[in-house]
Amino acid sequence: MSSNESHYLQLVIPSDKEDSRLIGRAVYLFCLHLGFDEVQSYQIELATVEVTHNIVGHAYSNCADCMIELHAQGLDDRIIFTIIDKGQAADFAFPSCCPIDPDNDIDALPESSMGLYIITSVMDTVEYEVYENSNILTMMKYLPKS
Amino acid sequence: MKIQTRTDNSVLIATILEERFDATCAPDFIVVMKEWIDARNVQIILDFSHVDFIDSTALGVIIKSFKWLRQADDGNGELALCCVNNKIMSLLQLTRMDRVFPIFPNSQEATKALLES
Repeated sequence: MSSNESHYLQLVIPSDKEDSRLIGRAVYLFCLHLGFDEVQSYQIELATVEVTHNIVGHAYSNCADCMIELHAQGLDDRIIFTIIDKGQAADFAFPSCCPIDPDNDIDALPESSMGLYIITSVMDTVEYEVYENSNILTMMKYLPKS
Repeated sequence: MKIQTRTDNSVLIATILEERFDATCAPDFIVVMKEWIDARNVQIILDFSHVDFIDSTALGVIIKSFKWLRQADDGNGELALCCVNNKIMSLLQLTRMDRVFPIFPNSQEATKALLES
């Protein structure tokens, strides 16, 4: 990507976990296009998929008749995502540490609730706000310095 | 969910034939895993050579399977992973599950390890 260029990706999908695959595939290719490598692009794809799964399951309570909006902006040095839904506002805290302790008892390993940790670990910044009946999640990731 | 299975001695080798192992197919996977264990398959290898993407829901059902197998056969059951690509390995490292799951480069090495354990 040459200097001072800006690239955009916008998608609107139904609130269905199967349709989050569309967002995932598009985000993966967009990240590759911007200069992230395959593993970084996978991790960013994973973060956006985890966000959409949380929206489907929590904000929309698995109702498939609602919509999820994704805007991605690729700049010279970073990618910025804005993901919007109009479901129930979330009440959560982003975890500061990994929920898995490999030295702990096997039976204590969590089988769910890893999505928020993955999102915050992969992205450089993540912010959530509620504005005029919309839930807006903004997350940003810097391109690795070449 | 498409899964191909074969056995090598007492070890069940399950090759997941989905490019994406995610929240869409994870519920099917856990049903199949339960059937394998009920059929007394207690040494299982999951071959990820066809899988290019997994999410936290898929990781969750693998963890559940790992726990089930650890309890099977009076605590002698085992689950191992093989043919994990760099993307999936990055998720295992991010969640520190690379320190929990036995992970092998191919099914032959995984089978050898389980049979010798």
